[in-house]
Parts: sequence; C-alpha cells; structure tokens
Amino acid sequence: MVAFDAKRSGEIAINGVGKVFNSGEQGEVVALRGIDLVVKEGELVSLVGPSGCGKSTLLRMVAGLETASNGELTLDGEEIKGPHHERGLVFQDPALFPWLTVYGNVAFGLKARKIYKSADNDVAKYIELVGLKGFEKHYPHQLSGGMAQRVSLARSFVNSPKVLLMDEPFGALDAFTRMQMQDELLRIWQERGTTILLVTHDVDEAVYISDKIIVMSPRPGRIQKIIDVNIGRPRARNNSYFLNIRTDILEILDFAKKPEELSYYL
Amino acid sequence: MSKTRKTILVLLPFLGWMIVVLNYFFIPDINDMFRKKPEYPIAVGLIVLFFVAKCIYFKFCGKGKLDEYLSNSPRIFVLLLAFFVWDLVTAKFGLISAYFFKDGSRIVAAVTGNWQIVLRHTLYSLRLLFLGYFCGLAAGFLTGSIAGWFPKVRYWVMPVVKKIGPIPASIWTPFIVVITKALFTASVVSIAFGVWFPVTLMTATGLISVPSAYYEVARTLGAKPRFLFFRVALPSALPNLFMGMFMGMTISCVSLIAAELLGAEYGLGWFINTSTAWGEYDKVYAGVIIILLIFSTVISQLFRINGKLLKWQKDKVQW
Repeated sequence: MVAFDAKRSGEIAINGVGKVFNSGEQGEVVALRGIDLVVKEGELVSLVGPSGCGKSTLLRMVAGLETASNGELTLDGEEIKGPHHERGLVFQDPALFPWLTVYGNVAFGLKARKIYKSADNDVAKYIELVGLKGFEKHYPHQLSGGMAQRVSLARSFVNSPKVLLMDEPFGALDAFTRMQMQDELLRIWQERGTTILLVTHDVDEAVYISDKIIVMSPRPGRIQKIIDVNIGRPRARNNSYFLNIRTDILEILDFAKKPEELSYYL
Repeated sequence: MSKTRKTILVLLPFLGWMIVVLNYFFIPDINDMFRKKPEYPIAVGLIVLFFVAKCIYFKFCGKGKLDEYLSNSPRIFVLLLAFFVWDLVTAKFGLISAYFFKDGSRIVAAVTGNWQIVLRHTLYSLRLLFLGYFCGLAAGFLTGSIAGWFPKVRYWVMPVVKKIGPIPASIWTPFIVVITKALFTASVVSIAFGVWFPVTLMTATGLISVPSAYYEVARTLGAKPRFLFFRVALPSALPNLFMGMFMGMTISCVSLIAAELLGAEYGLGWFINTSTAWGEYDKVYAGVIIILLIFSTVISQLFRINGKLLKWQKDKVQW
C-alpha cells in the first residue's frame, strides 16, 4: 500500500472572500459574500446548499480556476494563485482523457510535472488503491461510471496533493454505487490523510462522510451554519444522531416542512 | 459463420472472374479485329488474387477479422459481373458507341500497350500529389493550430480563411504562376492551397471545441501551456484533424487534373486531357482508373492510421 507522507500539511484558510460575476443582462451578480472558513489539515469538510449558493464557485477558487473578487485564500499560509498540483480536483463528470488508457490517465499528472519515470513510479500502486488492478489498458469509454470516477480519484492522488477538491463527485452515480464510492473515499482518505473539501447536494452523503459540514445559502452566497459531525467512524446510516443532524441541515435549508402544513394545502 | 457459407464467399470472386474470362474468349466480338490476349484475364484476376491474399492474411494473422473481410466478397462478385455486363454492352453486342465506350480488354490494353509511358505519367502525378498534399497539410496544420490556440489570431485569421477557402484553387493558378515563375511549383501550390483550407478549418475547430473540463483537470494536475497544447488539445482535436486530412486528400485528387493543365508534359491529368483531345478514350478510362486506384489506396491507408491512432474512440467515423 501507499506510504503515508509524514510532512504533508494542507490547511486551507479563506478570509473574507467574495465573488462578483459580471453577466451582461443582469449586471453584477454577487455569487459569494464575506466567506470566512478554515479547513484544517487532514479534515474532510463538505459544502452543502441549494443551487446558486456559490459552493462550486468557492471550490473553484480554492482550486485556482477562478479568482476572488475580494478577500484572500491561502494554503498553508501561501496565497493561492492559479491551479497547482498540490490542489487536486475531481468533478462530477470524471473528465477522463478519452485518448489515454486508465494507466495513461493516472500517469498524466506525473508526466505533466515531468517526474514520470517508467522504472519507478506509483501509477500501478494508485490504480490498485482504487481497486482497478487489471483495468490498466482499458480506455475510458469501456468503463462504468463508478470505475471512471475511481480512475479520476487515482489520477488526482498520484500527485500526492495536500488538498483534494471534489465537486459533487458521486452525483452522477446510482445510489448503490454512490454509497460504495463514499466508503472507498473514506478508506483512501483515512489511509492518505489528505485534506478534502467536497461540494455535494446530497445531505446524507455530507453527514455520512464529513468531519464538518458548511451549510450555505444563496443570493448572495454565504455561510449559514457550520456543523461539526461528532460521530465515530464507521458510521451507521440509520443512527439516530445521524438523522438528527440530517434534519437540522434540512431545517436550515428550509426543506423540513411539517406534514400538517402540507395537508392544509391539500 | 458456417463453413459452407465461408467457402461460398471465398469462391464467389472466382466465379465472377470465370464469367468475365469465358465471356471474353468465347463470345465473339461484334467487330472481331482485336486478337485475344491474356492481359485482360490477368488484370481482372489480380483483383481476385488480391482478395485471396487478404483472406489468407486475415485467416492467419487477423485475429478473427476474416469473417468481417469476407463480407466484401459479394461486392467483388458484383463488380466483376459489372465488367461482364459492360463487355457485353460494348464489345459483344455494340449497343453503345464503340468510339466513346471501350470494353475492359481495350482499357487494359491501353495500359499494357505502353506501360512505360503510363508508369511515367503515374509517377509524375504521385510526386505532384504528395508534394502538394503534404505542403498543404503542413501549412493547414500550422495555421489551424495557431488560429485554434490563440483567440486573438483566430479573430483576424478565421474570417479570411472562411472567405477565401471555398474558392476553387484553379482560379488562383494564373496568379500563382506569375508569382512563383515556375510551372511545377505553381501546380504544387495550387494543390496545397486546396488542401490547406479544410485542414486549417478542421484543426482550428477541433482545438476550439476541446471541452474546458480537460484543461481544468490538466491544469490542476500540474500541466503547463506547452503540455496542455501537445498532450491535451491536440489529442482531443485529432478526430477533427483526420477529417480535415480526408477532405484534403479528396480535394487534392480532384485538383490534380486541373493542376496538370499548367503546361506539364507528364502526369495523369495531362495524359487524360491529351487523350481526350486525340479521341483515345481507352486511355482516358485507363487514366481515370489509375487515379481511382491511387485515391482509394491512399484513403484506405489514411484510415488505417486513423484507426490505429483513434482506437480510443467509441464512435468511429465510418467511411
């Protein structure tokens, strides 16, 4: 198995970050306002919230794919300027390079950084880590959705990033595959100790895997509440404390309507 | 596929060949002045031989591709039947003008009768075709890449490409001749110009339509611009690039004949034009068939490379 990298850190600090988009018709749209957040080393933090709350934008800013309109984002005290291999990114669409095999996709980061040597590299180890040993020579179109997402995970992990950013990584998978992938992610996370910041619209997923849940609200996007999930792992999906947190979040997001109110309208 | 079916499919082209040959030797021509020679049966036999050779190749080193290849057998049979019908209509019954329409044996004789000259024409054409094609390809790839990669260049270059590209290259030839001052260069340039347009357009389109997610993922994996271009943008645009190459090849074959009108002394285009002028239509057919063979060989080779390089594609382009 892959050895744990002892000197890894990976603390994300977000100070008073805002984002304003200039769209032609609507003029200026405030996507995010006054975001303050610290994700500690090795933490697994989820961002949940309705669409339009800017959670993906925030993630893309940490990735360096968007610039903040104001405020400051740092990783281990260093300002984030543009994408860097220290901050890996996994999308909902695995976005594997279709012209490369599974092996080629996983090796991509090493080749891009010019540290790939066929004699000693970790590519095979990481393919094994995500459970795809034997599929090295397959092309992406020959893989199922879950397998493709595993490759995407391995492709990010091969760079030993300090931080892994995930934008609804399991959103496109069927329910069973999704639960399986959540367990996989937890296993790899526990083994590697990488800081993970994850965007999801699945409240169950957030409660099941996170140390901390950031609940966001839209127009303008801001942090509504930060919930610490103090449940030991492995977690049971039907634990009562689990369900309490779930209800809390849904209430904050205004989705936990009382049945009486519904019947009134019926 | 059952064994009987396979045997029938293998033997079908032989049957076609037999029909053509028996017809040639045993049904009298309406105007029987032409002595029967073995060239025509041999030439037609070469088609069958080629088929058999490929069957043997696929049987022993084709990994089960024999069945797929055997599906071509009925087509070859029908092609040979078409020769037979053509010979009946022309030489045997004289249903259409014998001056314009030559039967198969006469077309073959036009090649074998003066094969040194025909070979020379063919080689000259091949030289022109490939020089023009590869110059156009290189130029098109270069302009297409630059225009596809740099938005500012694209803003100025693409409208020009789109406006002047569709104009047939032959219109420019007088000006090209004046500028280059050499007829051969002018011919090369006029073919290259025809190739340049689709290659530029397809390369640029391919590069523009690379999904942005690829760039984003690659950048977060540590890719720098150079790496992004050669390892992300180009591979992703490769299917489009190949489309441009195919279109360019078609255009260059078409413009070959026009290009060889430029006072050339050799070349299939010149050969066809001169033969038309002299009313030697057997040579015209021969020239056209040779161009056809060159074109189909080149295209099928391009497709082989295409298939090898793009084996990662789910939906391959069908030709």
